[in-house]
Amino acid sequence: MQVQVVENVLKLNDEVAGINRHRLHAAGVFSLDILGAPGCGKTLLVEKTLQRLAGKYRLGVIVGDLATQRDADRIAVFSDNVVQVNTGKGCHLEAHHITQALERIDATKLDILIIENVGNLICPVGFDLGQDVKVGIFCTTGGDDKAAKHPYIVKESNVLILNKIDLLPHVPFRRDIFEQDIRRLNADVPLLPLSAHTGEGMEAWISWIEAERAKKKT
Amino acid sequence: MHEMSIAEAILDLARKHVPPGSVLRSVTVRAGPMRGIDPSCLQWAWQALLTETRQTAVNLTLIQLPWHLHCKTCGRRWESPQMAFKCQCSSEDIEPLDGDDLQLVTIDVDDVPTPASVAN
Repeated sequence: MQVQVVENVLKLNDEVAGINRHRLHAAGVFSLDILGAPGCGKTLLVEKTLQRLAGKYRLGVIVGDLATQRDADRIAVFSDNVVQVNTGKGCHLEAHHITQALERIDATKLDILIIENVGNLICPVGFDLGQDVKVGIFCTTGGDDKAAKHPYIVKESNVLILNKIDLLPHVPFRRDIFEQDIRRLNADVPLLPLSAHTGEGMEAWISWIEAERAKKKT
Repeated sequence: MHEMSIAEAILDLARKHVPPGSVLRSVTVRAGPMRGIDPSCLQWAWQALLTETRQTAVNLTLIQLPWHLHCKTCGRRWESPQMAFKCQCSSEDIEPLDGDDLQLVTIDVDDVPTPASVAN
């Protein structure tokens, strides 16, 4: 006997994400899910972002990795509210990871929560965590074809970052090709070129976060 | 490999739709191209999951949807197995219209044989 279903396969994850979102909104927390390949500079960007927002906002971070506590240790220098999630064999965070991590952070004492996803340009994109915005990170050392090869992250991100622009003189990266591919896939997404290492372009990124947070609160 | 998580989600959802007294035999899933699902990886994950959960054999059919593309210059809409970056009109102003579907479409179930039905 055949039974018609036609339901979203990730329905359960999306329901848990909805609960996370409700909980974070009720606590007045603005949340960002940071997505990008291993080595694109996610953790350094999180560190530099915390440095610039510290003192003005109460900050929390959830860091996803397959293994080790290393990123949490790096970030703990800048925030007391850091939780490392080790996914083991899992290549991405799922909504229930955030639910569990929120048991270890008092959301009512936060203004902004940054979630650094597991390094991966593909798998994390389809899993809603309950975040307000998704941030997709590419880097100049990764090659100018990565946006075209990973359309889902380009389509789903609320903002895209091109990191490591300080290395542009040293790598064969065609910025015009990269930007053209992005515009084909997502005509309106903001694209912020920056270097988390040198600080170039960081002001625009911080301004974007503050503007989005203000929009969510109104 | 997100295919294992997706396989787990498919099995969880399918089990919820199995009527009482029935056993799951097959599932059909529809996936858009943006989901980046590798069919052989999904089948591998599915078989590994069935073994791990001691589930009886359940066939998984994956329907992979094509890209639905739109040329913003000439207005043409077409389907393609690959993401295209050029239209027949030579324009490179192409946009994908969707592609993130991921749905459990149908399941097939059999009645569980009862001792009485076996005896008959």
